[in-house]
Amino acid sequence: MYGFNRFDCRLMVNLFRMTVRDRYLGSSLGSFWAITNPLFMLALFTYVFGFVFKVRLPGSETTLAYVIWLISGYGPWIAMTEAITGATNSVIGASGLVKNMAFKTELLPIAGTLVGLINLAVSLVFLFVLLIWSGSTISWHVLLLPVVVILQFAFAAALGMWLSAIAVFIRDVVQILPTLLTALMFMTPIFYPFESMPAIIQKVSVANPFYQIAEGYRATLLENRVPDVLGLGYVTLLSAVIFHFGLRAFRRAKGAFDAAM
Amino acid sequence: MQQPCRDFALRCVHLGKSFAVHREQRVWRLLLGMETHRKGPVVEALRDISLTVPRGKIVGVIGRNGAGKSTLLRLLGQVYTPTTGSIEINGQIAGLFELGGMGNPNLTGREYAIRYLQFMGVPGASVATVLDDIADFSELGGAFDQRIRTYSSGMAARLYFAVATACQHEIYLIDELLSVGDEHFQAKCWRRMRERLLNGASGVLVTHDWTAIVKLCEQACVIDEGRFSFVGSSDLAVVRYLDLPVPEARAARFPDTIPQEFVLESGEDSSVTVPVEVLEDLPVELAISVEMLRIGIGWEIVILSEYHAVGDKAGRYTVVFTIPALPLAPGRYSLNLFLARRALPGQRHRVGLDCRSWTYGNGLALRIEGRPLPAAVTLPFRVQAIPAEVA
Amino acid sequence: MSLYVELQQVSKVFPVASSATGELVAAMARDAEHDSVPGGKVAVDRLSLRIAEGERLGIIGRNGAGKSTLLHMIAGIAEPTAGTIRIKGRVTSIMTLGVGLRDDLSGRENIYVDGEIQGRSRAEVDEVIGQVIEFSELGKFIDYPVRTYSTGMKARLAFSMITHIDPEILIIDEALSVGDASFSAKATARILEICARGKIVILVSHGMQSIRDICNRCIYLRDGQVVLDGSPEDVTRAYIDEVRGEDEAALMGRFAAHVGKRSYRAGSEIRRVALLSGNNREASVRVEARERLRIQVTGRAGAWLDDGLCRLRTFRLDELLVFEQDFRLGDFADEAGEIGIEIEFAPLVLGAAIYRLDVLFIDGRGSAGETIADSSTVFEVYTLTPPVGGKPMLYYPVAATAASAA
Repeated sequence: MYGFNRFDCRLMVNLFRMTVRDRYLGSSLGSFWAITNPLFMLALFTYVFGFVFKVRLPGSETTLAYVIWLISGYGPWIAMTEAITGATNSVIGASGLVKNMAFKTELLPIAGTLVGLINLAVSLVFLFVLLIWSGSTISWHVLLLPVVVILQFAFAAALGMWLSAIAVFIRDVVQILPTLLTALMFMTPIFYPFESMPAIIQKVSVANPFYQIAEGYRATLLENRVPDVLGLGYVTLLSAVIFHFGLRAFRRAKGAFDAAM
Repeated sequence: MQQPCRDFALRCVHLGKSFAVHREQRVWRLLLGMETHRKGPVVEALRDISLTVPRGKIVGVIGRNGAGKSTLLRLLGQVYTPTTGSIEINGQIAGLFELGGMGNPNLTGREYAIRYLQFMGVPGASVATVLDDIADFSELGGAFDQRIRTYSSGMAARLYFAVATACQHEIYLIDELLSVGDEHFQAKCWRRMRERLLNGASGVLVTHDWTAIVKLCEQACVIDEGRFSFVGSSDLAVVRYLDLPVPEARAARFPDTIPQEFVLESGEDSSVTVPVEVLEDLPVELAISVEMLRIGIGWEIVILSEYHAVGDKAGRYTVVFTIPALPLAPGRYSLNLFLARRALPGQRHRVGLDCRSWTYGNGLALRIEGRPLPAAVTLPFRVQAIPAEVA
Repeated sequence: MSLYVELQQVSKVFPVASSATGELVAAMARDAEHDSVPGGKVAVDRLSLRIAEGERLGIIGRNGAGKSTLLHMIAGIAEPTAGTIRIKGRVTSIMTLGVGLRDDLSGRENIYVDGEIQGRSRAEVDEVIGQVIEFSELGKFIDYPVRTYSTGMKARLAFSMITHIDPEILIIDEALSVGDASFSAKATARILEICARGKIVILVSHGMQSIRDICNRCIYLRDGQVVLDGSPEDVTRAYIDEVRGEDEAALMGRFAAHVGKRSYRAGSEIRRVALLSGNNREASVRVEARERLRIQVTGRAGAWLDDGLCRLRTFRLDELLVFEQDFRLGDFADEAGEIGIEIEFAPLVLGAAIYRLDVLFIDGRGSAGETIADSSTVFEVYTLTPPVGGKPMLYYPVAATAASAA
């Protein structure tokens, strides 16, 4: 499929393991940070919004409900950030490999994307703990969660395919990316409900794939309903198109990687 | 599986590679698949390279730094994409481009090895045995489980070589690496490469060390400023690469009457008579050497004489070199003659006046006849019985 | 005011900690009063040294003797754990070539950046940049990003950048090998020139010849301490001699796998193979070239005595079979069937290298020649006076007579 075979799958797993290892190699606590970093961020947000600002959702008694709501959007977002950043840096970061081994370099952004899975897992565990603590019911809809996760990472990989290739030639991408992602986060209804946006912006935000993904998480985890099929279908289509052209662009560009690294 | 023409391991035709100097210059066109017009300066690293590596042979590529050797090797290993031309490959490639290029200095030697093996798709079951072999070959001992950043460069080189050659691959692409480590380790490296070759491996060896070329390759190319300036047998390639200037032979020379071939008898007291013409009043000296050049096996100076005085007045001389009980096995050798002016007081070196040597492309042949010897040479010895308990 | 470098009781201890955190704790807890941190790896051990103006000091020693650490401390890259270093003069150090090169800048820009790091103004760099570029032989590539350079070109650029310094105290680590022969020769000449300009030069090298060429004083470091201090000739010679002794032990250790005796038939064995060099009465594995060598073999061949052969085979380290000779066992046995053979090479003409000597007792009946016992020994042939012009396989005496042909 798409010029990938079984050997490539195994290679991708190896690349993923390698990326994770290399990332934390040399730090004495190693992959401990992979878990602690997102956990710390989540705890910080819980504290600030739950105990300092005491924000409440409209129609809700407790701040805990808001915190849970917030984390159901923010947790996946951290994972998204991690996935996109990981993918963007994947080719540049593996320059030794790219210059010395003949392999399908297009696996690198995919493996880079998967690094976000660690953050996602941590966030979800944190979220489930909160859900159970607050006494919320978890319905069978949670079984639809993997669909949302897969869509999320497919979308991240699609973007990563482009970004990683561009970053080889234009290193500025790596510099702008964090700022861009932060801006995107505030444009997406993650900290505030969709409804609190101005009506005109609401109409535009429906087209925001990040919003659709966040909604997918909230639907399956909090609202116990089937996510908006139209919305997720839109994300699927968008990911497929971006990935398809991204892969083609990547394969065209990789012939020139050697000169640029 | 389709069986294409399999009499060669690797072939490339009219290969060319140029690098854009400014990497931003054509990204968007590239990404969007538009026709890429070359804009801005490009570095033409390679031009019109055609090369065929026969199955079971290693072809040498010899050239100076910056001639495009490493780029060529990476192109053949499909790490780089050629700008022009095409490459055909029959077999699995193991590239030893840049030692340890894929490593992270924070990995331990063992982790690096595992990473490499995984990358090459070595099945998990055999990894353990291969790891043992790597640990043993690299002689790292306890350091194998320490981080690579604590290694000395020699230790790292040993690890990288051991890892890269741990498995039998079909095609090896080797960049300079046989110059790593001490004499003992180098000998081990050679043995291993030879062994891989005997087991049917093919490859390309890229180096600036000509002795490596004659050791491993029958065919070699000289690469100069990105193009092959010579393709042919490796001894001729070496002559071409070295491009040693033959002295102009103004003050003293070997006359044209000098025989092109000498024939001696193995084991006999032998002599070589060399005519010399001294044209100016100079203290002239002469040395000879017998070299064994076996293409694909190696080059070796077997016998090297000291400089002997010829004379210090102009005139014709004959110098007779006598070699008692010629210790060489029958076969073909190269006889080299070096005529020089004796170093004057205060000078460190002699001044070469004329020479005959295969490295200059004008060597003389030496044929040794006689009964074959079981070894390369024989040594003069005496033997006697001794009481068994004395020793 | 003359320049000097002075070290007093300088120590450097690398804490051996299992984790980075441990290293940090150890570094923080360091107390200047204490000479060493317990459990650390001592790289330099209470070393005192004074280098005066006009001295060109060579530092030699085995790997891990503390040479680089010492150099780093003098250059100010590393801090001593204990002791004081006082330096009068501006220190320029050349440690590793090409580390400072920035891939995305052109060669020319790199020269300016390097100048900035050296603390020079743009105008000062402008003065020498022409020479630097010329020396590097990079041509039009000087305006291309360093990324597009080959390894050799990078080395050439890096080397050229350091050649236009005007050092007071110059520190050079290890022979600067810069690729191909023609440039390397040019580079060596340049280094000598720079060293001559430097008021104090400190050079670490494994190349004894470059130490002798460049330096006028030499110290030999072992385990972080100065073992010898004196003229380069004396110190390098002492070092070479000492290393040789250690090498002998290492040699045998390394080839332990190859060495041994085996018997394949009951009643036959090789009891002893001894190499006696010169007039030595003791066997040794280091044999001097051009000296007499006696190989003594004793053993028993049992029922195979009458037809048996003793085969001597000498392999060079690279598996080249140099010498092979058969002897009839029966000729060397006493009435009891005990075999004693002495083969004498007078002189031994083998070139300097490491060899393996295999002695085999062979069943002479039939054509197959089955081995009934064997023994392997490793030995090294060395010479104090290697021939000029190459490393021949044999040091074979060649005589010559010249006559006028007129």
